[in-house]
Amino acid sequence: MSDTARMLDETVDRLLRKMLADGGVARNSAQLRDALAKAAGEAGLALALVPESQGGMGASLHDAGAIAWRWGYHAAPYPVAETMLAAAAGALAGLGESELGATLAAPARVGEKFMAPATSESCELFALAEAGTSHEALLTCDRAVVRSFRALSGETWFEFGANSQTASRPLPVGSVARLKMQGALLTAAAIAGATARIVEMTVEHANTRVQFGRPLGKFQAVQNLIADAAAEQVLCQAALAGAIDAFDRGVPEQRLTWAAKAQAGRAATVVSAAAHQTLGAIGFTEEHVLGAYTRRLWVWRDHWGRQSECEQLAARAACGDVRGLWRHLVDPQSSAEGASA
Amino acid sequence: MQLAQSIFPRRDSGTASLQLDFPELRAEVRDFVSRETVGGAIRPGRQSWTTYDRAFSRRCAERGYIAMTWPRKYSGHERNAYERYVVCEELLAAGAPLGSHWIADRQSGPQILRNGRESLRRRILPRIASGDCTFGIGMSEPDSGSDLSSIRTKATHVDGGWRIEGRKVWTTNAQHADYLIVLCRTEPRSDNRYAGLSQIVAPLDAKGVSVRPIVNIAGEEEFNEVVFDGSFAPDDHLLGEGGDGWKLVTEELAFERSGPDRILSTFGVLAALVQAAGPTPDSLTVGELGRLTTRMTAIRQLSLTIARRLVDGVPTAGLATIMKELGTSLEQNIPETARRLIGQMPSEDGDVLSASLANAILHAPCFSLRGGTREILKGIISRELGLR
Repeated sequence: MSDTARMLDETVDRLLRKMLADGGVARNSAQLRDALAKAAGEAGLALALVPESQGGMGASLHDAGAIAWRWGYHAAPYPVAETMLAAAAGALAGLGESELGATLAAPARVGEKFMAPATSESCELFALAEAGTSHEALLTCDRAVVRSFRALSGETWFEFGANSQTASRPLPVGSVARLKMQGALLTAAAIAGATARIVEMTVEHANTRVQFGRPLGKFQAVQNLIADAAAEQVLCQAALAGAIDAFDRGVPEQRLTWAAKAQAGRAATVVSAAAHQTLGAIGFTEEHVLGAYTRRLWVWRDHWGRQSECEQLAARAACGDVRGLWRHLVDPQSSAEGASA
Repeated sequence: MQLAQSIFPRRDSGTASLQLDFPELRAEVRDFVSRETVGGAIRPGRQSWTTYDRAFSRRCAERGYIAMTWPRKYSGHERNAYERYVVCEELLAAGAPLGSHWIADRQSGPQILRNGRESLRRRILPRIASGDCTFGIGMSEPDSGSDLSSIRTKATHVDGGWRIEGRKVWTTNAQHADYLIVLCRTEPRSDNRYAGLSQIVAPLDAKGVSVRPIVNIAGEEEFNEVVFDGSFAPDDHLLGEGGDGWKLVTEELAFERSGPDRILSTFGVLAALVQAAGPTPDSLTVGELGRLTTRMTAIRQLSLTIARRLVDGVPTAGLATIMKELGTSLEQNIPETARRLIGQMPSEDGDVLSASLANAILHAPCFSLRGGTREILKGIISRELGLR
């Protein structure tokens, strides 16, 4: 690991072990979320993707991904990825550090609402005006006209339309496409971390829970279930590593990003199902920590790149590539494709 | 979890690219592929990489596409494993007939390189490198498929070598092969089922060897039964020390399971589907092809990760097993998806898409059998996870 990634991973791991150790504080409480917000703020995590020249860490996407991975590994109830993206977007729009703690909504299709996880009750809301419109912009939105709702994870999210914007700041050309890729890959990293922990938990349970005189893990049906989950998890990590590597090398590949996000979505589903199946009724309780993971996975798999949408975009790009499928898959993205949609 | 650790976040220093960047080499192989397609050796949709074509293999050898990473002293080209990967995946994606040299290049040659005596290496490796030598895999027997350690073929030491008695089955291309690397029992069975086994390079032109082709459901004579009725193999044909056959065969299986041939067997069908879909595909097609192309992309990234680890000498542990399981499932899903999308009846007599699909459907069952059945692979993965 690069020194930065190792340092960030250790910092986040230590921070989260400490903050999540207290079983007395309910996991989905605003209290815990605010405590995590404070800790994340003190560690300056939101600044990961802000250039050093603008007071940030200037970290690579890999290193920011290490933060997201470890955050997902602990299923910590605070949208750290969105804070990194919001700060990065803010920096691109020329905003200063006062926007730390803002959240960023993923781009919405025309007519659909923006949605973003709340970093606090009163957080700043940003959204991206879609790439391909007449200009790329970072929108600030009026919280007074948003609807708050509970996502599957139990966390508070905000939903708002483009008409709720109170300010619009131009972004350099290509920013929205870039932020979309970063959003997809940071979310995929969170999924990778969460599914890694779930597989560990599932193996542990299968090795300790005894029925019919032997551990569950001795039954082939259970072994196959967990083996399938582990395979999807490994694949998720490999696809993610490839996409992030291309991005950090300055040659981001849409194809790799869509595949990484789609695979992360698949892994989220398969791993969650296998874990619940193995852990039985006890895993289906609010008291057991498994639900904290799976409920987040059920949100992340379709955020910053709905799984089905990533698949469809990938298919359209493949079908539209005159070079044929093989070259589309292994040669560098053709200039005709660009960082589209 | 051991398996996925250090894939992401990366535990290496993170400086080396995860992608393959050899544009000239790729262009060169593609040029070869075009010419061989025009020349008729590569027939899209009507063959696969197991198809035997000795002349084609010789032409591959002339271009340095066999024994690419082996030492020059054995007629290898001392190129790096990434270059080999590029050449292999280009040829596999094109459906080139690699059957005469593929097994020798992928596993038998490396096995001899690692575990063979010098005199054996000097005699055999250059012949593989020149495309003049075909190898078969001598593992399965009629009573020993997945349960490989139960094999009964035995080899008795005689003056100057070994006398082999037994029967091997499902040996691909044995009817053309010069040698089989035979897993055999050289010491009586004891309580330890894995002890007392050895690997011997058995010449198939020896007296006492008979090869009987077995026709598969696609009507091809590709695999065989090979009977060893007291045939002879010289002393220096023993690989390893003797008695270490289980360790050796496990190594050989790792070579067998780790390459891009476990993802690309039905790639031709997928490529034909994408082409047939055209630039404005309907939404059903988009949905189906999207799942397959993203899956293919992801699995290739896993394959590249494994290739990198092999080069860096980092253990791949269960990664190759996972890749084989995921890859062969994808190979089977491709024709399954294709039949839902195309209207025509697949037939080997049809156009390229129809013939590719027919070929793929007929062969699909064997993808999850050869090189280790899916069920065995899942058991291995479970063991790697610490469940067994």
